[in-house]
Amino acid sequence: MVDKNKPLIAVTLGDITGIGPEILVKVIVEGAPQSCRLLAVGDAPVLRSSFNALGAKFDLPVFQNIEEAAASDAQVMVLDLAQGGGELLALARPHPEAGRMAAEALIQSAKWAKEGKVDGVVFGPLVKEALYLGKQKYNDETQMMREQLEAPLMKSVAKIGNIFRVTIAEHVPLQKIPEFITRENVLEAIEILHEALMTYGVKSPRIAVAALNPHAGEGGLVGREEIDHIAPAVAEAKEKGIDVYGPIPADTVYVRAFKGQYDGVVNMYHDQANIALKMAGFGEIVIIFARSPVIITTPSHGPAYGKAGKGTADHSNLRAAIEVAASLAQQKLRR
Amino acid sequence: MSEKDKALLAITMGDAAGSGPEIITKALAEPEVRKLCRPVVIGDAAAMKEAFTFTRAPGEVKAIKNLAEARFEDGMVEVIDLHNIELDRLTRGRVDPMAGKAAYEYIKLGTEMTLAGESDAIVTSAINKEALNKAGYHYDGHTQLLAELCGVKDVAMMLVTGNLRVSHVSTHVSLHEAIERARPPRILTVLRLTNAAVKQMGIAEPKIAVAGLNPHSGEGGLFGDEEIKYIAPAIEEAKQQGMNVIGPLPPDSVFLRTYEGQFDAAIAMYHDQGHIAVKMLGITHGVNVTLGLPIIRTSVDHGTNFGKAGKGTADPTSLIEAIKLAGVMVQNRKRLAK
Repeated sequence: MVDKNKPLIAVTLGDITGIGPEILVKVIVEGAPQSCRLLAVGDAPVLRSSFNALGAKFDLPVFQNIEEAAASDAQVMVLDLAQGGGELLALARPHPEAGRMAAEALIQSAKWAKEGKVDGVVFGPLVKEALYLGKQKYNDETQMMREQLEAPLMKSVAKIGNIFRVTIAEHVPLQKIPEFITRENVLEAIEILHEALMTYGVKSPRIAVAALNPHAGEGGLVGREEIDHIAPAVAEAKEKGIDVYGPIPADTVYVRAFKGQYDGVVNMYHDQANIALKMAGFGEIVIIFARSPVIITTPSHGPAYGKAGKGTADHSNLRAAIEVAASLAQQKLRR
Repeated sequence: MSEKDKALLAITMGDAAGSGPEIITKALAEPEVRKLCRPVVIGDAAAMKEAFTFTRAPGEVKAIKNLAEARFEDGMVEVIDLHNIELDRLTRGRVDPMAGKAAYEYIKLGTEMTLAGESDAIVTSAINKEALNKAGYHYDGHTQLLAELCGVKDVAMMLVTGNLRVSHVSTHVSLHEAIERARPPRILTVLRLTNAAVKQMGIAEPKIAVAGLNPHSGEGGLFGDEEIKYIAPAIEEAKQQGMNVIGPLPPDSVFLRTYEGQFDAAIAMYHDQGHIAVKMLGITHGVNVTLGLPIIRTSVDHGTNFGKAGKGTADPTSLIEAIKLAGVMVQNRKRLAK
């Protein structure tokens, strides 16, 4: 018997042409996190094939109806969306049909979360190129969820070990980044990070804001964005009672954060964060969606087509994403 | 190695208000340093003597007037004494224009001695930019000052931490200006200087990786086109000149791959791109090398560490590594010249 007070976390297979199904199977075979009940959402025959491919026995209870699944006392179970697609499994490249199935599973799970039928959602790795819902093509999953869940302010926050991170200008040319560094954007990023850390249970989080220019602009000598935009945003956040520091030179902000000086870092651009994290050997990064009506997390990596079907893909990121969703759900249930 | 084959290194004392003198007392007490080189300090003998009282390192200061007087005996720290620090007036642990002016004079003499071939290389301890500026010397740091003293323009900063060698296309400029500076002639210059320096560091056929400028190296033009317009053509040109160059590679993994030994050096397009990578490794081992000078110059890659001045606790590792690297580069320069 499993404690039904444990949160029920829906976990989707992600893009089935990639590593999504096999990493979920590996998490289940290894023993799903004890902090939750796990509901695998997708096509049951696809999941069964994936178990078989890894030489594991498929003996999970399968439900067609969400209410019945939620009422079950199994720790791990399957909600069969009967999507088909078995022939696409481990195809190892993006496919519109697989993208559509992945998007449907995610949005359906999130809607169940909105209705209170599940306590949180973890979605398996997706690819932007094949992100269709019905006939609609979305640029990325955040845009899709904003629209489908009527949550226009949703924004992704990365959890890296114990450090949370928001990046202001993620996938944009470096040339365009200064345009994004406005007082409003920096302040919003600080506030989102603060909210996300508080929601995760970090009391009075300490937030560092990275600078844009070398040596944090050196008093205006090598760039003015720090003086004109970043410092005013930091001052305003302080007035609002947030424990925030900066602008901090980007080449030491993570050195300090990993020493435990900060709980969160606001980055100006993609590589500021990613160079530091790769050097530190951080593979386990979980994406949490802040300002969302429901709890949603995902592993930070993509469908890794090159590894699909080999059974060698690392599932630790997915496991971490499930644990984070479960932890967030437990805290929400307690409130 | 016979005594006179050892590299003769001019080691500048740096800012007397900081921990520069103290780390020199510790570094020159290392047997491996003495095995590799003949050191002579350019500084203030009284300040060096006082540093020994802080660190209690083994060794003794001997003031000399010029290089001809140097004997390079173990246990002796020979200081070409410029006698330009008044110890009772020095504000230790704080910016002091007197120390800034003195630091400038050590660098000037060390550079001149090395340019004249009296010393084989110059190794510099930490200076404070503000102290230098307050003393009336307006440079953005060592690199610019050395370039001027040597009368050259095309220099580049390389940071070395173990296997990770990173040269920078630009350093102390705004991100906006850094983007404008990443153009083929400059990238090619930095590649050429890096290729030569890595050879001096003992690698016969350097393999050099070039970072992109934009996230994911632009992803085929989706996130910026500098890779296509400027970086790739520079790499092509370098290959035609016979260099083994690869790139542009995604900036977030190229430095890790270099550190893991896939490449002998990496080219960073801007200051923070390279510095973030190097500093994540911990700054105690880093060495700063100036490329493009007619002389070999290595340096500590940390500041004056005012907080530790006078306490005897400052870490000499970076200086030791800088001395060892200068020694290696001098030996290889001789070998390559043959």
